[in-house]
Formats: sequence, C-alpha cells, structure tokens
Amino acid sequence: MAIECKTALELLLAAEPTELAGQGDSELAAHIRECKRCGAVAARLLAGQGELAGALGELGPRTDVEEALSVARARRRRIGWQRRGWRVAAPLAAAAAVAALFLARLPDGRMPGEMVLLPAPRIEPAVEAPLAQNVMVFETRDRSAKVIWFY
Amino acid sequence: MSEPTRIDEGISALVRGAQAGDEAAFERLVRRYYEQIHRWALARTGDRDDADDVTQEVLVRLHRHLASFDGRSAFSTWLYQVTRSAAADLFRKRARRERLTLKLVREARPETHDPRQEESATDERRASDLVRAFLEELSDRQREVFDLVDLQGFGPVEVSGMLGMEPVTVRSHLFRARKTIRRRILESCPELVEGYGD
Repeated sequence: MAIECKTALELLLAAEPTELAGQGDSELAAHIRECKRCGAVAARLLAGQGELAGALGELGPRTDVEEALSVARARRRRIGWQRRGWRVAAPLAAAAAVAALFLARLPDGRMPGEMVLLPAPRIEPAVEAPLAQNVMVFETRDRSAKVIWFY
Repeated sequence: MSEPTRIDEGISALVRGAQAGDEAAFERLVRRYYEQIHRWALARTGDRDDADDVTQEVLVRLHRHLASFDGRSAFSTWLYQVTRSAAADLFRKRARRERLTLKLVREARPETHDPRQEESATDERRASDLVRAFLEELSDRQREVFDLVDLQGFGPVEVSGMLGMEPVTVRSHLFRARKTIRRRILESCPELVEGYGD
C-alpha cells in the first residue's frame, strides 16, 4: 500500500465517487481496493451520499405536474389578460385625461389654459395730464388710495 | 444524467415544437423536467415551500421565454438559469427565508420511537441529519455544486456553465461540501474511524 490509512482517510473526504468505489488508477483507489478498513469507510461514505440523495428525492414537488401545469396555464392567461388590459387601458386613460382637461371649467368659468383679458385701466377724467403727457389712474385695493401715472 | 453540450434529439424536438406553439410538446417538456426543476430549486433555496413556489414560477417563465432559447447551450443549462433567476426573484421579494429548514427536515423525516422499527429509525435519523447538514451547513454555492455533481451526476464542466462559474471554483466548492457532508456521515459511524489516530 503506497499510502497510509491516516492519509487515505483525509483523501477520502474529498475523493471522487469513482475513487470511493475503488475504481481507477489513483493511489487512493488502489488503497481502497487493498485495505479492508478504508474500503469499509469508503463504502459508508458512498452509502451515506446515496441516503442523502434518496432523502432529498423524497422532498420532491408536492404539487402534481398536471396541477402545476394547470396553475401555470391559469397564471399565463391572467398575465396575458393583464397585459392586454393595460394595452387597451393606457390609451383610454390618456384620452380620458385629455378630454377631462378640455371639458373641465375653472371656478371662474374659464377653460384651463384660456387667456385672461384684463380690463384696460380707465382714464380718470378728474386728473388732468400736463402738456405733452398722458395720465393713467390705477385703482388699488385700498379704496382711498389711487396710483396716478403720468407718462 | 449528464447531458451532451448539444441538446439531444428528443429534447430538441420537444423544444422546437413548444417554441412553435405546440402545447402538447410543451407539456411533455414540462413533465420531463418538472421534478428536476424542483430539485434545483430545493438545492438553490434550501426550503421545500420555496422550491414549490419557484417551480411553479419556472413553468410560467418557461412558456413566456422559451422562444429566447437558441440552442447554443444545453437546454438543461438554460433551464437551470431560468430556475436560478426565479429563485433570486423570490429571495428579493422576501428579505430573508422565513421558514426554517429544520421544519422541512422534521416534515420529511418524522422521528419515531417504535422499538420494532429501531433500525429503520436510526437510518432515518441519519438521513435526516445529513439533510440538515446539506441544507444548513453548506453555503448556497456549495449546496448547489454538491447536489448537481455528486448527487445528480452532472459533470463539473457542465455545472460550471450552468452556474457561470470557473471550473476551478466549482471544484473548490465541491471539495468543501464533500468534506462537510462526509464528516457528518462518518460521525454517525464512529466505530468505522476508530484507530485512525489524530
């Protein structure tokens, strides 16, 4: 035996499954074939991995494939409907928003965006403009105050 | 189980049919890969409930995205990527796995104290301990690699393609996972390693 059992044990922990089965030309495979004790360890490791694979296999899907397919079909239909729905709903929503914009009236009865024509300031006849000048009188919020502009 | 790089004719025909809208071909394809998808999802998520959810999501995505499969990689490689992506989305939706994997183990292997089934119970406990080690002690990557290579028989090179990982990295994860699992296996039979010395 080219390697000792202690070394073999370390190698067994990372060895390929084929080596654990004693197959191949590696020193470890040869050792496993010749050493009963290490052969038993290798066999236990292989069996343990088999048990693990079996236990995981038992944790398979709890939903039957037919049922899963039927659920998937239903979800696909729902997703498709939602997408088609959005394709129709998005332009409709945009059109509705534009229509609402045109149909809506501001509190003062104007359309949104409509220009406001403010009344022109009236000339106060009581104020006489100096020669070669014009005059404008502006009302203020304070009824007792007026702004007189000569220009 | 290792699939050649070119998809085999049977799968290829099913994929082409499903891509062309043949619902029967799609269903056959799903039946063929259903349990495999679930197993990948279980190894990826470490939780049976999550694996069920991911598997269901993969079926929907498979139908929606099958047209994008161009046959340059093995179908199983592509499908594995779809499964990983669905699992990643699930994790994004949930900040953290909510259900303990321990629950899964208990559910899968209920303990029994019937003395007439003592030997069987010992085997079950041992398997249960291994499942727990697999789910809780291995990192996500180690679990994926170990399951794909050692338990499901995919080749390391193929797995490196499936996981988008360098082959040397795959081997590194594989060795670490093997050591963890195999130490657990030997812990359950201390008589086997007696006399080896430290």
